[in-house]
Amino acid sequence: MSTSSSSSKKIVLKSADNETFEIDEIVALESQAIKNMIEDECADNVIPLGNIDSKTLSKIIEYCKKHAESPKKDDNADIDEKAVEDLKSFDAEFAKVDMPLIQDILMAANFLNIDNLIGLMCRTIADRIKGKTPEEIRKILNINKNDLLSPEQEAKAREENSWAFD
Amino acid sequence: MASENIITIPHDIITDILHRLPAKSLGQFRCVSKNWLSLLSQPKFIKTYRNILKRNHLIFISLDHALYSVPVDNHEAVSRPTKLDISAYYGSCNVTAACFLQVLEWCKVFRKGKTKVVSDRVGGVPAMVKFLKSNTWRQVSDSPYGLDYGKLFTGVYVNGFLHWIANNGSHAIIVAFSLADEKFSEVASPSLSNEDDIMMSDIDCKLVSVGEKLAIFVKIRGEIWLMNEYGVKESWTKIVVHGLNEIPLVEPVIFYDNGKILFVTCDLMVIYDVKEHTLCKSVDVSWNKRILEVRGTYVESLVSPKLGRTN
Repeated sequence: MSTSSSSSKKIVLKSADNETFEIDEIVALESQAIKNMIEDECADNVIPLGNIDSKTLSKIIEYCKKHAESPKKDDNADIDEKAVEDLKSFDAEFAKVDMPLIQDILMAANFLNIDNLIGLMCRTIADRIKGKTPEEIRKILNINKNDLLSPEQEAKAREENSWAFD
Repeated sequence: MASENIITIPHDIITDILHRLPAKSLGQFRCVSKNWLSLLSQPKFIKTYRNILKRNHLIFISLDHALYSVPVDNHEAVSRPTKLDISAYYGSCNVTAACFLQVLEWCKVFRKGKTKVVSDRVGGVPAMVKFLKSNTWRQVSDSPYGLDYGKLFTGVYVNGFLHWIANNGSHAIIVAFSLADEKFSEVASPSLSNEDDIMMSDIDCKLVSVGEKLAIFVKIRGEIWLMNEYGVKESWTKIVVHGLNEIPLVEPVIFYDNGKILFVTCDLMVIYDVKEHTLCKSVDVSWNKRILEVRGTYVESLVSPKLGRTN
């Protein structure tokens, strides 16, 4: 854990598999949900996150730490471009994980209400499915068989959207 | 596809993801499932995709005579222009018909579909209509209006109509040509006092499409007349822009919801803040390809080119 700010207030997060993570409060505040809990003073010393496993939680903390350290864009219009670039390349590296982990991070970020991270994960999924065919999408996103179009409906949808197919 | 790459995402987040995809992908993804077809066809989704997440693109012809497109919403970092592939046009609805036609002509590619394009190359007025489906040209009946002015400019595409400034004998009017029924009509000009007929008196007055609105640009006076509601005479609004005279060959391109206007020259993008009366930002867009001639703008959209249909 960070040693530079040892005097700052600590928050402990507990994952579904009972691993605990002690982090600076400023890092935890990246999560709007935790922020609300702290402000409402309903956060105990340890915040249990029963639906987030330790692998996902450590990724989330890695993200929040980096973003908490970075100067915020709104604070200062003249923020140096290097910091922005640095954060961008961090995000790009961060997103280089397999799809199931992306899904777990996205679900956790959604639960913890971390807007930037939700956006990053949605962008990542969008990038990965961009060039895919409808058949591939059905597989990747696990589309329910009952939800499939009938052959007639699919033919009609293809006809109506022929501009999108080469 | 390896099974470990399969994921399940709740519906509300799927919407968020789909908003970030290009129109072409979404057109294809309407075939994914019943849910997706219904979601991607919902007026609400289409409207959000189009309006809130507006993806404005500028189309221009460069030195190599190819058409390029560049997104112009993100002024922080100006993207590199991409050479246009005709299919990128096909799904977008705000391409000027003139531009659309030229793309088709240059590419010599004619796609199947119900769309028609209009040739406005003959003296600048619509002369022929081309049906893409049958790939045949058809003569358009003569315009009832004198189109002296139109010769200089290609038609301006707004709301399913191509527009020119024309002369009805005594004064200048705006003529519209409907792509849906191939008929000419007149669009109400701004109400002006008698001595202030801008369209007649100013030689450099021209019709432009600012974002998706019809506008009259009078550069010499630094004025833009914007028709806020298509076809409504009372909706013409004058916007005065200070400092334009110092910028050569400038043209307004997009009027943003936040009251800013994007102007473009051959190598510069300038943003003007209407409320503050200031040119608030300029971006060098010369890259290594200079913008030679702006051909129009388009917003990525999930509806096919609209033909005379209002929203």
